[in-house]
Amino acid sequence: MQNPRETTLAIASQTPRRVAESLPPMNKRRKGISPGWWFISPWLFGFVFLTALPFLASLYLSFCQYDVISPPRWIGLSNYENLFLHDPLFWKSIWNTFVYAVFALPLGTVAGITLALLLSLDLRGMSVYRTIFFLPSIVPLVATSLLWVWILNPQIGLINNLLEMVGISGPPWLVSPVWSKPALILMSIWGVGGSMIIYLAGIKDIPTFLHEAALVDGANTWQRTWHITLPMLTPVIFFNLVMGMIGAFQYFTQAFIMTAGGPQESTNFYCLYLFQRAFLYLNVGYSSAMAWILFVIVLVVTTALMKTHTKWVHYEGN
Amino acid sequence: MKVTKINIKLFLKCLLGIALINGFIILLIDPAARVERKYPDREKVVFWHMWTGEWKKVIDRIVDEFNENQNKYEVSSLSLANGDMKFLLSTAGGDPPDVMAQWNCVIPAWAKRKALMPLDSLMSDEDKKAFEETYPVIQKICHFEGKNYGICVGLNIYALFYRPSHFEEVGLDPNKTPKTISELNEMSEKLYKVAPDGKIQRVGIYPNHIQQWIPSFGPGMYDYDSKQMTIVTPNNLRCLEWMQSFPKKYGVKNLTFFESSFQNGYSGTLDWPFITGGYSFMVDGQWRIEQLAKYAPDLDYRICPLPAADEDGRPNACLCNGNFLLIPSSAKCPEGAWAFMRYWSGIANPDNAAKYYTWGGWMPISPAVTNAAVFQEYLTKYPQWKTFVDLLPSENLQVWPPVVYQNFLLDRIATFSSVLTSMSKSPKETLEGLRDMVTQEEERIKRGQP
Repeated sequence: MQNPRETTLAIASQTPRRVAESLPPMNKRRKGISPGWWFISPWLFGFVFLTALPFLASLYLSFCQYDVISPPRWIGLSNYENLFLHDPLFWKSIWNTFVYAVFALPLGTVAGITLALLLSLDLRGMSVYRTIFFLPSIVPLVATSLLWVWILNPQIGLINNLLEMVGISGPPWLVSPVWSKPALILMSIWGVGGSMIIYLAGIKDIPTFLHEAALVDGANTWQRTWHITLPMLTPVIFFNLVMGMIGAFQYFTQAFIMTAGGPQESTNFYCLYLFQRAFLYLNVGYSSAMAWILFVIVLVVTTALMKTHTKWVHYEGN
Repeated sequence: MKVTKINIKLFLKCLLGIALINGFIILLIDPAARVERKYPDREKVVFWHMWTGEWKKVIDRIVDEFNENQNKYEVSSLSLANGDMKFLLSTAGGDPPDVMAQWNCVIPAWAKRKALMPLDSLMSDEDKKAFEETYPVIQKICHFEGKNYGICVGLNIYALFYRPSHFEEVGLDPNKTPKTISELNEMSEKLYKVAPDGKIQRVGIYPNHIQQWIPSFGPGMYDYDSKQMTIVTPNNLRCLEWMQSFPKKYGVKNLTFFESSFQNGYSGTLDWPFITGGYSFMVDGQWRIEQLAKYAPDLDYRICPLPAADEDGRPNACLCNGNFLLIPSSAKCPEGAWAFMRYWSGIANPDNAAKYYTWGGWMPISPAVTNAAVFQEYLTKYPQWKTFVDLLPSENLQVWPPVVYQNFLLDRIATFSSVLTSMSKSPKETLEGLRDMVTQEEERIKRGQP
């Protein structure tokens, strides 16, 4: 019997053509199902039956009247027509989601970068601070939401009590249609630890020679941050922006638990309304249409962001 | 060597194949089927409900009694969270329970989609006669398009709870309860405690849920003759004008801040604002009596019906909801399900069923149950119940309009209650806004028909 090590060395020393010749013929290898397929089969099963098929089925259902109990009945574009022309709640939910995304995304980006910059400083015990700031982002959303219901309570909540200490009468937050969205936007900073860690990794990845060269040229901290750190961080900012935008359009849990869409539909976000339509009002076909509209919105916004990224995202190789 | 190689491949294939087959078998096996049955020779009746904790124990006792007192069926109960969706999925999959307890606004939506079985076909002449003798609201609450789809074994009725000590404090006679809205206004005004800076320390009455007060002002939001929603009516408008007079007088911000100081709102138990003294008058249901006996046994309180509007008002009125038993249209054993329902509800034997109503603290469905010795004893133990029981025969007890979009309506009424009390819109605009929403939903449903 040949020593396996000798065989490996012998194959490695052969030319590619000779290696190919030494392998079994293709028709021989294709006999039967490759073990690779067996190994991947659980995932394939999940992907095909639990992702791909429901995905395609939802497209079909969006053109049907469907309530789970009875079979779907084809109604053409009626669901889309109703949504665009006759459903004020649909537009309200789009508006609520849009406002949330417009304010929460930049706020989260600025807060994440600022925190990452501060936590990238070379100070004693920095790993403890990093852990402290990262911890809130791994608290389950349901627990976070319940906690913030207390924090934002107008009468006995932490924020208003702190404001009262400095002589400010706090707003009614979640019970006011004016303040409910700002309250949720404010709360979004709580989970900034997740993006902060990615920014931090990005900052650590910036070559030190760039900062050293700038130092030699007499650049101060602000100039180095503005002209080196931020431009070098733009690929990470871009990634977080795209992911954050998709997350903002899928905003659901906090609104579902904290406000249930109220007061006065001011926190009825797109996914919450979609959920209500599908599972409370049994309009599954209608909500499938909503899901596809959301898909198109996310696709368009992501494409638009991708188009702009050549103008402001700097890659190390460029 | 070759043989070994093939064996490994075969082994892996077999292993994965077995794992997959096992996985499917585990998924396909009905977990309920693995539960050991006490009466395997009887017909099985699967019962789904949504009660948990102490309530579940009560349900289990009722089920046990049913199983022990007949020899044809065995009810197997299962407590489920989020039962609505599971019911729909099981119905779509062709394997629903035989009987299900519900408390959400589902009957019109499910009945319209033929997911529920009308009970009329299962009822004997005797049953029908007994059902006709139930209270009017019991006959109305599960009714949809001329058919009855359930039995309400846990009706909720609302009345006015009040604190006599607060009455005495401001010089009111606790024995004199408000009969009209203007009398309630007068009393409430005296009972409100407002600090010089406008902050509210105690509320007399604060009507902030439209559906709660509409029945006291008139025929409500639905016309049973024309089968149409009747939202913008003079009676409803008077109701909303009265409701909005409170934020007008005491300030939206002051009332909002006062309400938000009760973190669990009106649904709390130990911190129910009525117990803590935040409210002198509060509208709530009969289940509070047992809670008060348990958590605040020394609290002095009384109960009276909601007062009627001065102009064209309705005495002894409120909006009722409740827990009802339903039979899915594709139930495997509807006869067994009905046998269980008539046993529990008292359609079969009111004297026996009366005890179940006392176990759960539920409103009796008929005078026969009310008059049963067990229930009369219960009334002696909890005399406060009398106000609720006296309300039962009232024709002015209303139920949610029997429309297929009941859940949608419920959510929109909550929205417009907030619109009204925050003074974002006038009472007329609020009603018109609600009407427009409802009209749009009705039209959406019509347009969505193939």
